[in-house]
Amino acid sequence: MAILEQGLIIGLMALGVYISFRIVDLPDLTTDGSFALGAAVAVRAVVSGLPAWIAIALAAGTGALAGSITGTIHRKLKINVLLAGILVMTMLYSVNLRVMGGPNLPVPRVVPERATQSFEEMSGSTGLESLFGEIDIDTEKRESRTTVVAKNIFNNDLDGSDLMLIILVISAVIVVLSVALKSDPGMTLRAFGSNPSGVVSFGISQNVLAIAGLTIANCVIGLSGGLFALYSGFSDATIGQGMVVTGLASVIMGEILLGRVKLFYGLLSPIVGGVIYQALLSLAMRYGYRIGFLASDMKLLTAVFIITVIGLRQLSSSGGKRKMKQEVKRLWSNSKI
Amino acid sequence: MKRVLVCLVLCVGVLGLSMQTVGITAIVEHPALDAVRDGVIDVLEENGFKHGENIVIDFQNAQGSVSTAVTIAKQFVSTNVAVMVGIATPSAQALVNASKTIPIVFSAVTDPVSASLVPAFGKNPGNVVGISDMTPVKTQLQLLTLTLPDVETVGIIYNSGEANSVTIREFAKEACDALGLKLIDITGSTTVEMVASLNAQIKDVDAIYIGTDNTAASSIESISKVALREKIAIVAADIDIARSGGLIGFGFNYYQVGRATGELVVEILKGTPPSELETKILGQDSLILFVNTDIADEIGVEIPQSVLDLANLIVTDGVETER
Repeated sequence: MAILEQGLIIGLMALGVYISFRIVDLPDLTTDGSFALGAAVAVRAVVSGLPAWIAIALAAGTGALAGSITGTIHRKLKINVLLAGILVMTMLYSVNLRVMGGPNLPVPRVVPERATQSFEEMSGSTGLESLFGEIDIDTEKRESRTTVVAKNIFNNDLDGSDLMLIILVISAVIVVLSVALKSDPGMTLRAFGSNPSGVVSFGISQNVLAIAGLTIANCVIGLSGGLFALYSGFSDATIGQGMVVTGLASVIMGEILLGRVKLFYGLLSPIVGGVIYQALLSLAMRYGYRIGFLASDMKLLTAVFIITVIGLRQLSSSGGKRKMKQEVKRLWSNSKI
Repeated sequence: MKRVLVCLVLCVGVLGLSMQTVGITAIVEHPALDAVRDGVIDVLEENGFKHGENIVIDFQNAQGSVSTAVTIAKQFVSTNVAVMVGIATPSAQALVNASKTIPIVFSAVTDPVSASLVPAFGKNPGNVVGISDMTPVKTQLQLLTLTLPDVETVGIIYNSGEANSVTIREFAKEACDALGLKLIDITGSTTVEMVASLNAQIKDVDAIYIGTDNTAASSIESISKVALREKIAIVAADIDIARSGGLIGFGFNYYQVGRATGELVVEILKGTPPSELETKILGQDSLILFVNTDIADEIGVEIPQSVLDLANLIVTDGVETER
């Protein structure tokens, strides 16, 4: 159950990666930053007393803003999209620390009775007092940061209510996205992904489409970041670390299971992939040590997995199956990371 | 695949029935945090709780990933471990958020109140208790002033992305204000950034102070090289950091933090509920004063005899002697 819940939230993040990497065909690395931004904004909002739903909406909104900045830097300043993503991700690290007011911000679950005091105040003595006759000093008392417990939408009781909530949010996102992508501008966006120069005839600027694509992708990523932080009960400066690779692995996992399919299932596939990826990760951590597998090997394994899948598809294209060949070609051209 | 899965689940189920499990998780692999884990495990063994004999110790490292830390926490809860130990802030927070009933012992968290783990130090209702690695910041800066009376500006090296270090920086600021010192932040989120900031700011500082920062601990070899070149003294809160080029160190080592944590785990395994145990810092007896007279000679500093008299560890001519 816990794996399913977390897998779904990670899957939602993977959906954002899917939009940038697959639908608009722009390898966007803002992900690590926009996920963390969503997390930071959501917890900050909850701590300030805003309801959780607004917190999550704000997370999605700021994620979208981050995506639009990457898009603008990429298109208007003609900076390579990979570099643009890395630059925005780097900027967001600093921004996130500002948003959280420090490197770590919990959803307050206990009311502090008094702030943590210095070692000297708590222990009374360090055994060195005799040394400091002249320079003995008194320091001020600190005050604790929060005074109220924030109400979280997740109760972590594994009674299914958290799961329902997550499924609700994801369904809403998928419905909105599939409707939007079937509309005329949505179709143009998808066309832009498969043939960027082809859309010139539609009379819509490529700049607008690229920026829109990255905005939508990071909106979804910010949203999942916000959900994840509330689900985990805290946000941390490092919460987004490695998300883009996890997202990609989930996207590819989804494609292996469901194939490259029509739009609606296409949107579902990264979410399924996310759940499976999370389950495998969990299994590897739990039982992997029996075959000498360490948690620190996970990153190597994930990257090797991505390379292997892309590589296998490429190799099998020489096998002669025409359909497969097309598929691989498309995949290959899509995966110029 | 399915069959293998079922078998595995059964195996764990049977193990779980016959033996209690202690789930230990740390956010990242790091000498200090690994020492905490070793301390916990050693104390468990000394008290007759041996891995594989009467308990199962399940150690999971999140490798720096918060989402993995959350996965680990949920996994511990779903396998219904007897006690969960969370080393460092994010791992502890992930555990505390995952269960309101399973006893949780946190460790190496400097400010558990700001991290929303417990409402205050001491006894608290609920399932959470732990050991803070709060270090005597004020005393460390007093030692600095005593040994280096001409110092006006102190550079504090830390990673502003580490919760523990930000807390220590607050205390350092208060102490510096009271001592009439100017405090300059030398920050970096990676080893490389940190050394670059140090190189850029070293001319502005008369001495360097390092708290219990993980990034600074990883960069200490480079930091001490720069400091020695400029003949600037390093005062550190972590004895292991001080050993790599520091003039003075005053604090404890993380193995002791782990041992204190292990004692709480033992109490809980013996049946004491966490609400009857105290969240605390290490005692005065665990504090170690480290002095390196070789470095003092190299940078032209004379360490007061009064400090030398109280030192527990003194390095002279490359040999460390304990007193």
